[in-house]
Amino acid sequence: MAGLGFAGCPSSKPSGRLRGQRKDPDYPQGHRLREPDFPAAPTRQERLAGVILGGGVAGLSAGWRWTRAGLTDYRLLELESQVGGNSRALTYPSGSAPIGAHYLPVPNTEARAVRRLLTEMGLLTTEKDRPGLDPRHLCHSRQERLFYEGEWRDGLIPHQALSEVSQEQMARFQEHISQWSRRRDSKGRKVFALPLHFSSTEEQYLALDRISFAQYAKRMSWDDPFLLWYLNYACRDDFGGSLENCSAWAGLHYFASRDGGGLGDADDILVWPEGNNRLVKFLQGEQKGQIHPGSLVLEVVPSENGVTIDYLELATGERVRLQAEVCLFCLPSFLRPYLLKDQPTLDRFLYAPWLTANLELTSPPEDLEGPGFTAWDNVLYDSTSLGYVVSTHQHLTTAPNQPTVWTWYHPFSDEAPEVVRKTLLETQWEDWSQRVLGELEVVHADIRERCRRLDITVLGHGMIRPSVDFIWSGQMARARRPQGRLFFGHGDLSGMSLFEESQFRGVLAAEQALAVLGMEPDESFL
Amino acid sequence: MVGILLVSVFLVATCGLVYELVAGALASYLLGDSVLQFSTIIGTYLFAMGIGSYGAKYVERGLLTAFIQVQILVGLLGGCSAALLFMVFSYGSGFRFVLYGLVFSIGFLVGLEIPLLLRILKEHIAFRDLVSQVLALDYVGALAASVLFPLFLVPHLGLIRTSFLFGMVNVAVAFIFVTRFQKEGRWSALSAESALVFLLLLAGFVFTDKITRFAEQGLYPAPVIVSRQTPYQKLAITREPGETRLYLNGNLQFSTFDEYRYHEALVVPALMAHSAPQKVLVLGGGDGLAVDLLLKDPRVEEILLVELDPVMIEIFRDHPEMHKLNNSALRSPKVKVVMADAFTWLEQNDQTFDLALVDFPDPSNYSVGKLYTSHFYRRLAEHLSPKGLFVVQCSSPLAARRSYWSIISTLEFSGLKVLPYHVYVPSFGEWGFALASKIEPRVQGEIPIPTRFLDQSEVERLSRFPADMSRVAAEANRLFDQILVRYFQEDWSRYRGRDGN
Ligand SMILES: Cc1cc2nc3c(=O)[nH]c(=O)nc-3n(C[C@H](O)[C@H](O)[C@H](O)COP(=O)(O)OP(=O)(O)OC[C@H]3O[C@@H](n4cnc5c(N)ncnc54)[C@H](O)[C@@H]3O)c2cc1C
Repeated sequence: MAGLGFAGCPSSKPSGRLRGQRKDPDYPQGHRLREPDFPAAPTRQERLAGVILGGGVAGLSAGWRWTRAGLTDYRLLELESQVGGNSRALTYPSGSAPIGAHYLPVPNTEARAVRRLLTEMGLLTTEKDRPGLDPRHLCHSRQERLFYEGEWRDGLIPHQALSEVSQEQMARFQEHISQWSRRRDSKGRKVFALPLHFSSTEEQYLALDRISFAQYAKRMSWDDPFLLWYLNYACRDDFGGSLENCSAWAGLHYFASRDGGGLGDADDILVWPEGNNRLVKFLQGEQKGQIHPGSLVLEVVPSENGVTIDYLELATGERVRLQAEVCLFCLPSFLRPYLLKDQPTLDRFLYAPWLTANLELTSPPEDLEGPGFTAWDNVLYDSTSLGYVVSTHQHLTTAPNQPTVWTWYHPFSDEAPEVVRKTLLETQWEDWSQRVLGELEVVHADIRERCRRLDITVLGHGMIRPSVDFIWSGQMARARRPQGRLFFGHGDLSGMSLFEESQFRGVLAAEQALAVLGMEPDESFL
Repeated sequence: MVGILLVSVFLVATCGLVYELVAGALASYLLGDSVLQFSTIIGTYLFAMGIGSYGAKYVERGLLTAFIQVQILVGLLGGCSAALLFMVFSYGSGFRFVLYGLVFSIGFLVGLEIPLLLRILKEHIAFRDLVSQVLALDYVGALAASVLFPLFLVPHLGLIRTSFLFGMVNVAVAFIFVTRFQKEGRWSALSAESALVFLLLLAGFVFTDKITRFAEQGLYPAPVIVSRQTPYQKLAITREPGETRLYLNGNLQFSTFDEYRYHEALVVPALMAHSAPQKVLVLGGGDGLAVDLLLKDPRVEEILLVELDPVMIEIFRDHPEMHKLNNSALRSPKVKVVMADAFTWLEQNDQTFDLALVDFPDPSNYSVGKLYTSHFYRRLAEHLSPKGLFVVQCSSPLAARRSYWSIISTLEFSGLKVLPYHVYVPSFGEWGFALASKIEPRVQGEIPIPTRFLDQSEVERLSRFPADMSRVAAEANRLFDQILVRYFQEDWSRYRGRDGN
């Protein structure tokens, strides 16, 4: 529990003006699934070709796939009043800001669905046979900076400030990674691909999934504190995990899988003020009629010729029954025991809780480097948080004093998730807002004066954690298996929480269902 | 008693002249044309003194009290005069009105002093001696003031502190009179009054830094006459005789001493490279100096100025003094001013221009650096007519060599043909520019406007780069990889660090 430590956090006097709220997902409704008190019998029944459960990236991508295949007789059920799940955004007077997902790496060539989506959105265009991304949406300079030993440093690795040992190990590590990213297996497949489905499945590589990243680091004699911080940071940032509890395969995947796909450098990313909600909005665009927000899925009964879905319409309190020819389960897998009978064991599905804070600022606070130096991602070394991301970073305006919204990220990567979840639900907005401001005050002295509003979002099951022996385990393979005409397509079936993976799982489920419906597309999007 | 009275004459005389000098110096700083300012201020002051001296005869009883009151009032008005005038100039309106009003009031009060003193003293000194001694001390006091003022007071204390200091001297004289000569009864009221004014002036003296920081004096080598914290930047204009300067965030933008070199270099080659520059876009450059030159070319019919900071326009178009610097260029019917961020404006508009002048602050951070990216130049090029071209100020090819050539690379990377050139501007050093166009830019023909610096042969020399400024390899600056900001920081820190500071 040490990492939670808000009881002992320095609580300076609460500023009178600061407002804010908890913007959590609808836990009270969701938790009703544990002790159902719903009407037992449906008041309405409907028949449809398809039903999609869950309106996160996975569910929306599935719907996108169906729309493209000409299937429109479907309904997408989403609990919240808005779709998007972890890629939701909040709206402020100065623009939107993400509560969770905030960037998309430049897609590899194997990320075909991502490329198709970006092309449809007009962000990826081909001129004279050369594909290129709209530079307005590639993360502008400066992408990252690190607060290290009292100063902001360019990038995540403060080369100049590092000891010789650190530099030497860092160089060795980077060389090691570039070997991995170049390596191909006997069938010519990348060892680490993104979507990870396209990775090599040869045993020598999959063996890396059965040791922890920490063990791997030890094996490689990476013991420099800075390097270990850097590796651990990556695990926290992308997986909500740590060196100890993430597998070596996952850790290496993070560093070695991205290659820029001929569109940019490996570390180039696409960002928007509202984060990945930009992608959500597009996916949502053509399925407005199909999306039913405020729908709590209660029960799913698959069979050989169809699927019966019961859901609660929150607005009316009515229980509605849908008879669908096919159904896509794009909800997180931990919900299965509540909604479905006779599920395989899912005890390896561990989810890291996250807490994020959105700070609405009247103008950027004082900065140790002066105005105009804020990066998109601003990381604090040796902090339990990951720092903050600036929503207005891509604005082309040069005025340095514009209002902005920052999103501050805090994963709970070491503690037992159930304990954290319980505590998080009980903690007050006041405690966390003071803690966030207290941390940022160290680097931005007048943050309290600038901050007009601070909203807190707790994502209890924020990220699936790629623990040791999980992604490539038998349990995972079983969890992915369709049950009758019910197909599973949530991002957690990849074992790591990424847009590419959620999209892949959603589209895959959608295409499997299309085949069953006799609408098999000529060409897969995947 | 007599001794004290005579010392007072000396002090009072010194104070009086100091206020006059403060007003004269301040008016020359702020309004320029020091001969005119000094003459009119001395004239007004002496005239007011005359009226004061004449008016003294109407004071019949209570001479001592009257003299003390006058002292306190002179101390207050004179003491606060410099601070007040700076404030009015920076933040208020009706500067001249306040200036001459103040000079007249002080002159009037000072005019009262000597006759009153003479009448007080005549009971103690024979008339013949009295007149000689008082007038002699009066003139010696004036000498003291006129020597101290330029040699010690202005350089060490500055105008604002000087006037506060002498205000306190006036009030101190009043206080001595109160304690020495007043009879019981009236004592407490007058001494309280003088003590209060003294404290006020003392506070002014002590907190001059605060007051001047308010007007940003002290950070600059010359007195600040306009100082504004705009939503976008800290803006300061300094003036000393013969030279006005604009600073943005502490960086010199122009000095009237040599800005014509900079602006001719920015404008003239561009005008020469186009056969019919009718529509011109100016990005940045809200000081109107480039616009002024453009207007001299009869071919130019329309100028659109896109400026981020409304305060720049407020000052360089609307301020009663500052618009003279650009010959009221921004008030010309040919000129349209749009308040907008250049980049956003380009994204949101599709007008085209024959010529565009790009005069932004240097790429010293990632925010301004966006205006030096290939993406920006491509956007800008889309706003050019088929033969259109634009010119960019590109920092120093000598002090920031890699930065300069990186900007050139960026223009080339954006698919443009580029003509790099440079000019020597004493205030800045060697300064670089570039002409860019979809077709090869060629500077040819006659110099189209009257110039102070550029002539045919000078223009030819501009594009020759000596060995120490010649091209070096430098990468193009892109939105998602602003290498230029790093170059710029490294170049300038090396340049500044070259003599070990
Ligand atoms: C803090 C944080 C930061 C992240 N940052 C990034 C990033 O920068 N880039 C990136 O690629 N990925 C990021 N991710 C990963 C992100 O989770 C995925 O990119 C993606 O948004 C997940 O989509 P999904 O559809 O798989 O799952 P979810 O987003 O979990 O979607 C599930 C949906 O189902 C709904 N639902 C749940 N229960 C019910 C019910 N009973 N009935 C009806 N509906 C229900 C939920 O409301 C939700 O909308 C981040 C995740 C977190 C937590």
